[in-house]
Formats: sequence, C-alpha cells, structure tokens
Amino acid sequence: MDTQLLISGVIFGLSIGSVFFLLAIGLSLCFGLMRIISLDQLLYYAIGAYITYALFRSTGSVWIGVLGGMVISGLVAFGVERFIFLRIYERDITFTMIASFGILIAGVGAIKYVWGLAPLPVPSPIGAMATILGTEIPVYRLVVIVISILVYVGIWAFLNKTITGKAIRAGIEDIEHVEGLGINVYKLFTTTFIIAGVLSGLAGGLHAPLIMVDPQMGLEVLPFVFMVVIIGGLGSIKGTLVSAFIVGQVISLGAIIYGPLAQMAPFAIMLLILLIKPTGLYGSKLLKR
Amino acid sequence: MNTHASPEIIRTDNVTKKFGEMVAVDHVNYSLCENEIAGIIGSNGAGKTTFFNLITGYYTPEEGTVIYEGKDITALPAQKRVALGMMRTFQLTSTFDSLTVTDNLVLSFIRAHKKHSLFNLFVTPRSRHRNNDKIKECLETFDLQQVAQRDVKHLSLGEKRRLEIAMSILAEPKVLLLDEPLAGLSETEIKGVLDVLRLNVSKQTILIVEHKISKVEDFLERLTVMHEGKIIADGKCEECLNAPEVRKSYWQID
Repeated sequence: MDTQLLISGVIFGLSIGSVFFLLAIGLSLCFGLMRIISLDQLLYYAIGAYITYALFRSTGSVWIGVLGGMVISGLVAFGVERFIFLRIYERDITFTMIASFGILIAGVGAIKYVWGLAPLPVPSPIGAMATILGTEIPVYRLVVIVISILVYVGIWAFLNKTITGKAIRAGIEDIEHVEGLGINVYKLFTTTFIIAGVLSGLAGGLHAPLIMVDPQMGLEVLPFVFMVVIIGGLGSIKGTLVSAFIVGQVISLGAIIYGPLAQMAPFAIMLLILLIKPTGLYGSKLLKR
Repeated sequence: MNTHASPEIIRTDNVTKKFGEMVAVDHVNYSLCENEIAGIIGSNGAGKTTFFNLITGYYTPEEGTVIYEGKDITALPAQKRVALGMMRTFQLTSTFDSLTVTDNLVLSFIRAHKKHSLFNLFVTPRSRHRNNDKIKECLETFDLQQVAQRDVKHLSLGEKRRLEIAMSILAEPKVLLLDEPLAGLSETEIKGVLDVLRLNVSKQTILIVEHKISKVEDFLERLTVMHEGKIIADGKCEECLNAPEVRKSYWQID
C-alpha cells in the first residue's frame, strides 16, 4: 500500500467519521436523557440532504442548502417531538423505538413522493484540492472534518458551561431527581431533541456532496451510526467522537486492504471492543438503571 | 391532638396505600402546622417512608385525600408539588455525581428564584450565579466552600448529605421533608447536619422520617410513631415514647 493511497484513505475515513459523529451525538443524547432510541434522526439526516439539494437547485449555493437543511430538519424534529414523542416518552423503550422506526419509514415514503426514487447529485461547494505530503486531498473533506470538530467543541461547551447543559447532564444521571428539583424536564427533552435533529440535518447536508442523495440514505448509514454510539459508550460525547473516527477509518482503510472488508470490518471491531469493554470505550454507568 | 398555634399546611384524611395484600399505610389522619418541626419514627416496615411518598406525590393513595394549604393535591404529580413549595430529600442521596457542588446548588436554585424559561436556562452560570451571594452563603453555612468546585462523586457521604440538604433549603420550600437524613452518618456529621437544620427552625416547616429516635429526639417539637401502617402515638417526644403501645411495638423491635 503506498503512502498516497493511505493518506487519502485516512482523510476519507475522517470525513465519513465526521458525518457519523454528527448523527451519533443526537442518538446518544436522546438515549441518555429521554431513554428513547430515536431512529427517526436518520430521517432528519435525509431531510437535511434533500433540502440541501433543493436549495442548491434554487439558489445555486450548497452552503445555503446546508443551513436550510439544518433549519428544516430542526423544525421537523420539533414537530415530531411535540406531536408524537411527548405522548409516548413514558412508554417502554421498545415501543418508542418501533414508533421512531415508523416515523423514519413514513418519512422515507414522503421523500420518495416529493423527490422520486432516483438518486440526485449535489456538487461539492469547494472544488479546490490541498496537497498533504504529496497527496491531493479535496478541501471540502477537510472542511467537513473541521466542522464536526467545531460541533464537538460547541456541544461540549453547551453541556459543561450552560445551565441547560448542566441540567441535561444531571438528567442523564437521574431524570427523576431533576424533576424533583421542580425543573420542567420536558423542556429539556424538547431542547435535546431539536439539537439532535439540527445536527442530523447538518450531517445530511454535509454528506450530500460526498454521495448521491437518495431516499434510502438514512437506512444505509443506520448500522454504522448505531455502531458508533455503541462503541463510544452511550451518553458519552467524547466517546462518540473517538468511535466515529475509528469506525470511519475501519471502513476506509478496510476497503483499501480488501474491498468487502469495508462493510464487515466495523462489526468485527465492535464485537471485539464490546468483548473487552461491554459499556463501550467511554461508557458510563448509565446502563445501571 | 395538635396544640400548635399556626395554621395547618399539610393534612391527610384516611390515606391508605396497599401493595398487593399488604396494607402499608392504613387510613392515616395526620396534620402538620406551619413552622412545625415534626418527626415520624417507626420500625422497618412501619409504613413511614410509604406515608412520606404519599405526601410528596411519589405514590397515589388508594383511599383518602392529601390536603396542602387547603387544596386537595391527592392526584398532583410530585414535580407539581415541588412547585407549590414542597421539597424532599431521599434516603439515598439525590445529588448529581458528575456535576460540581456549585453546579448542583445552581440547579436547585433556578426554579426557586425566577421563572425558568428556556431562554434563562441558556444563561451560563458564571455570568449570573457563580458569584451569587445566596449560593456563597449556602456553601459557608454547610461548610462546603473547600469542595465547591469538586465533582460530587468525590465527596464523602456526610458532605453529600449536607449538599443535599443545602440544595433543598436553597430552593426555599415552605415544607422541607427529609427522608432519613442521618442514615449512615458519623456522630460528628449528624451534629453538623442538625446544626444546619436548626438555623432554619422557625422559618420553615420540617418533617423528618427517621428510623432511630435517639438521633433526633432533642431536635423535634413533635413526634409521631407509626406501626404497621397506623399512627400509634402523636405528641411531645417524651409522652410518645412512654406511651404503652409505643413501648410494646417500637422499643421491642428496635
């Protein structure tokens, strides 16, 4: 394997890991705080990508598309939370998971109805190439990586510095005691769900120029995002970042070594990590409840 | 039965709670007056914690009503009762391990001192609360200044217990309900907690559930003894402890 292939492989892995990370933090926070497995986040990911496509077609700017995608995804997430999850938070976790899967499937149907079945292209907003150690790398991929790291820093600051963030962390620890302090936990739930939705939309928007936008795109990344959440440890933002980059690398470098590995290697890694550390890399004692 | 002059703040009429066949709380009539310092004791399984959970809304009674300041709150969920001014602590401390001592206090502070809109929640504590006098004062009163910036998971049980009571006092409830606040503490820590509680006597109604009377005897104005889900004595500590039913059921077991 030559150096150039390796470097472009690593960058490819980091950029795909960045997208997984943006999707996985939403899932991880929703599970940590509300105890729901919010599969519908993958719908907001697809919505983010489709809105990026649509706004790119009308305005000519992918970046406006990405921003619009975040806004629309956030709004759809807000609506879904208000009208569906708010009524079923108390139910069993399997119930909410199946409900969220239903929302995802229905949403994919709606996307097919509006935009059709054919995959749609979104061009890269940055055509420039950068040279790293003699290897040509698309600058856009580097931008995606930087954005995801900025999001990580932002989420970290939000959770550690603001009162809402602290209340969310307290809620991840013990939601009943937060309620016992007289804090309206449903406001925390709504806030968290919207943040998750916006980040899923951002993931979709940023991913769109790297792939073809198609209705099934959410379902295609589903297993990998799940893997990222599980390897990282539920509820841990740092763990999610690290594991997203690991999964990205395993997919990318696995493919360089031997094609079919790309799909299978992440599962092998997940199995290995769970055997050694069942709570994931940075898993907390969350699961005790 | 009640000689206290202040108006009644909590009253229960015939509250009953069953767990399957077992009647944990059996038609209990109880009332608590404003600024009263009252205690409930009883052996294990006497129903005192269940009764406590009925008052605070963690359980709903099968029969009977719970009245708070003249309003029927029998069906009101726990967090709404908090909003009315009822604050409780738990047998197992309910502090947040991953946050610092100050952050724990800030969380209990926000509800009590302003309407917490979502916008306010986005304010960083540094800008508004870190130097807040109330929190500072609280850290001093509870002897927690040294550990103010430490994560709660590194505190001793006594410190956690003090923090928990600090949190509930900081929320400025009308009624403070303490569920075995002294369990697992050393003699000096018990003294520390009681000293702090004494500071708030006459400003607050306090109801303490304890297993062992010896710890809180001097502190209480009034004592209620429960046995098998029923109140068997109620009044001044000494009178209660010498009552024949109490001698038979409580002292024998404990």
